[in-house]
Amino acid sequence: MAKLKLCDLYKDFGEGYVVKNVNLEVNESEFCVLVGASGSGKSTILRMIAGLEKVTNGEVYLDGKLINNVPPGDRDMAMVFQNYALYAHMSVANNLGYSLKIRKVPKQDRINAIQAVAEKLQIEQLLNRRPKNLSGGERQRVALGRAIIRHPKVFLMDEPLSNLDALLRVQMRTEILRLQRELKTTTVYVTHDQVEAMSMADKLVLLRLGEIEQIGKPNEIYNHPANRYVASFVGTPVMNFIEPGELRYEDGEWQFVNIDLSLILPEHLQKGLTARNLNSDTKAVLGVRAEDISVGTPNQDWNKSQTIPGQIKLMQNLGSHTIAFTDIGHQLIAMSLDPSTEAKESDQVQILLDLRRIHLFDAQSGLAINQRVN
Amino acid sequence: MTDIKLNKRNQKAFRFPDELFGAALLLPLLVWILAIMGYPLIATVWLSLTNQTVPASPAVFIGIENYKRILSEPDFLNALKNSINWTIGNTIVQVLLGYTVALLLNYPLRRSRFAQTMSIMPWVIPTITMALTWRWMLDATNGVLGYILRSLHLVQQAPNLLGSLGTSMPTLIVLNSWRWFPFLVVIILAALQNIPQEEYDAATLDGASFIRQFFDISFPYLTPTLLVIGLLGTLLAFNVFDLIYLITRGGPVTSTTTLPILVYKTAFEANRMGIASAYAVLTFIVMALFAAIYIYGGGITRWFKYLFGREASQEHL
Amino acid sequence: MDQKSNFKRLFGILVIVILIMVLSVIVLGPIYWILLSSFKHARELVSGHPGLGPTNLTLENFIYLFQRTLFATYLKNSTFVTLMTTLISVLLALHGAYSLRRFNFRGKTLIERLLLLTYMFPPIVLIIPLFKVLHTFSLINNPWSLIIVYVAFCAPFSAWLLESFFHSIPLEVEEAALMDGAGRLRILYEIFLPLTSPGLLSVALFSIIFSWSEYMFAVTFLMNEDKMTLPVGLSHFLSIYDINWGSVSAGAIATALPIAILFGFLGRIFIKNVTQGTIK
Repeated sequence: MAKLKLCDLYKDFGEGYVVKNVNLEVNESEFCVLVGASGSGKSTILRMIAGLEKVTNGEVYLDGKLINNVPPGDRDMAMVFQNYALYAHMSVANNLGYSLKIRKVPKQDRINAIQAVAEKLQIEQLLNRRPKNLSGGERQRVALGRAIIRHPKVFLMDEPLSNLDALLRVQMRTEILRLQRELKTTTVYVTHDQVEAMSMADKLVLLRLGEIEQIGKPNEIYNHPANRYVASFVGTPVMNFIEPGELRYEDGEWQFVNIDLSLILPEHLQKGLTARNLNSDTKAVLGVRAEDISVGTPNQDWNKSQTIPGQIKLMQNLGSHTIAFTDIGHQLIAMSLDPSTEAKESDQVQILLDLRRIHLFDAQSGLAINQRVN
Repeated sequence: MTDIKLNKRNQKAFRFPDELFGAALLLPLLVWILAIMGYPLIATVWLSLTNQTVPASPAVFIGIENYKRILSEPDFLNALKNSINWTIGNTIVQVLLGYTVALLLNYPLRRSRFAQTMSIMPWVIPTITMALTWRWMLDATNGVLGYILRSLHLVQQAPNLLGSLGTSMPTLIVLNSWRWFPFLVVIILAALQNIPQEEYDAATLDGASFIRQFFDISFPYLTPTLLVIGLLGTLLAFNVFDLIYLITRGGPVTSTTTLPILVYKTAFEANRMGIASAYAVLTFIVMALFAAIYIYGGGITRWFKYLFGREASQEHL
Repeated sequence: MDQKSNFKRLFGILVIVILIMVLSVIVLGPIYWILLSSFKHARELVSGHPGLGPTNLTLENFIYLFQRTLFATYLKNSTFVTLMTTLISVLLALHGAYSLRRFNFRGKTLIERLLLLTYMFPPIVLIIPLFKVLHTFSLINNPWSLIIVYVAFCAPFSAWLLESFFHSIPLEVEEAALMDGAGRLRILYEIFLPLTSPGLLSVALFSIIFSWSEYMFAVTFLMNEDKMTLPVGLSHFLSIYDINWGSVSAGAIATALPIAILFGFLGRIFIKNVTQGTIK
């Protein structure tokens, strides 16, 4: 367990900054996930923590100590690589025990440690095999074992599950989490898969083009995205963005107006918007998730039900729910419907947005305008 | 879980910067090269400007006298002519032989380990062995070649291939190609096997015959590789000394005296090191020219490819 | 139509078969002949009717070779030179290749090209000054003079070759080792070495073949009979007036044998690896 702190981290490979202004604290035993598209700098940050890349600017602290110039082998961290990076010419047992051998741990202690780790990961029967005779999942466990064996202060994982098939991936996610909870080791985990990130993180860090877009618990990020990019990155299907639109102040009320619709914004947003001293006619985008849209008669649970007419163009049945792509005039929005719905393609419907859960973003900057619900 | 007491690694107060360490690993190699190749290169140029005879005697600087003398004598031009014939002849024969055997090894003989091993043999056998073998086989009096030809009544008398002015050079070219063509076979074979099978399959479905496939698929893929290897092979052929020296010593008369032979004999048999060095310098220049032509002739490959209309060749270099 | 294509096929097969036969004779013929000659009586060989088949075999040539000539000495010298050259070349090449692979510094590509170029360097341009220097320092007749020169030819090309083998080891494996706490050299010896052992083998074979067979430098630098390597010693057999073709053949075979055996076992690895490197 250890505390990691990244201060004003920058990285330049010679062609401009690939990591900019990164400030992050990871607490003891926290499972921190760095998520982002390719090129977002997440792996680079991980490697800077590991010491495999030199820091261009900024500091990395481990338990309060500056470790910028400490070689990777001396940082007391362990890394699990995307391609496992096992030593092909050594047996599994030797792979596991290599770091101990380097540190001159006595043979019997080494053997005991290897055995213990192998049991923990259920790979005892593989100890004498070579990596090339292992399946992907087995190799992944060995890679994990190699990281665990010396009880490092920090686990670093660079997309360790990307090369596994879907089913295995889900299984291993649980395994990794279980292990981490048991060992209580501070972990930094990199992935491009937002589902994976959401399901595993204590703390989620969303990165884009080298900069942090938002840090928070998965819930927070999901429900209160700081900007449009974050909102579109997490959640399946992607959030619907109704645009172009404007925020208008008319008759004492704020409205969101667009070529296809005109919505009077709910109570909880009104005060916040007024307080921000916005101009009337501020260009804005309305974001709403597929699961927050429904069809049919208004329900008194929802405040100010205002419906939008539309026509279902396409339906995709995904088993647990059905997505209906609906044309509201000048754009298609995705609705998540119960699979037992009676709606069908080319139906004319009235659409309801759950106004408690809509998001407003500034059209230019992409920043979120709305404040918290409840 | 057992508690491992990790020994504290001795923290070096001073750690070697990476770059310095890397350079240190490479240094011995570089120094070696510089000493054994760099220095002599310069020294040869220096010697060519002196009248050095034997190492024991002192060398006096005489400027470009040697060069003037060389260019007014026929020896150099003769050797140059021979070298050019030698190089071109070798390249052609080796390419033909190399291609043929490679194709054979790739298709009908693919599974034959014997064929594979045997095809490489000539390359592996020491030159001295082959030199002795050829001297023996082609001996005018007792050589087995003559014996066979006479037995088959194809000739009256055993031909003196190595001792006759007209046949000595071509014979040597063939002999040298025998020794070196596996080099090309290996390269061509590997390149052939790199061509994705799907292209052939698609062509077969399109109805292309084997020969067609060879020209439209194999050849364009091979061309870039061949050109690069061809350069290597050409330069190696140019430098050949031992085979020629051991078999004909540059004779009969000077019919097989290539530039390397000329340099050697002048330096170590005639003991005129100054002149020999001048020969050596000129040889080096000729070789560099050869290489330059080859490399810039590479521009030809571009319109060569254009003729055959193949963009795919790009990804194979 | 069918008949015509059948005929074409048969014709094609015939051509190929003939081609294979002709090539077999060309490639195997000389080897067969010299092998046979080494086991035949010298008298028979010059009789004008040498038997072409394996009849009337004898070991007298080999006995003569080892008892009445300095062949054994030549063998010893060649072995020494070859061994030392290979050892030193491999060492230099290994570390050099690792340096090129792992560290990035200015002028790296230049050095890589230089390494490849050394193999194509015309030895004839170097030999005169080298001889002069060796003569000045009384190093003529010393096998080390050969070793030094051979290494200069073998090591760079070997380094170049090895570097391309090292490329096949993913960076991540090295980084994993770094994280495990391994130092640079340890990574070289415990990770790179085992993983590229076929490459090392190829490089060693290359040096062996080069040094065992080299003639020009050997004949120039070694004057004394008891210091000569095989190629030089054997070449003297040819300058005798009355050549004993039997023992010449025996000598030729005996010289080729060690290499042929080595290659017979390890050859395929060698070929596969060398071509991988050159295709790059």
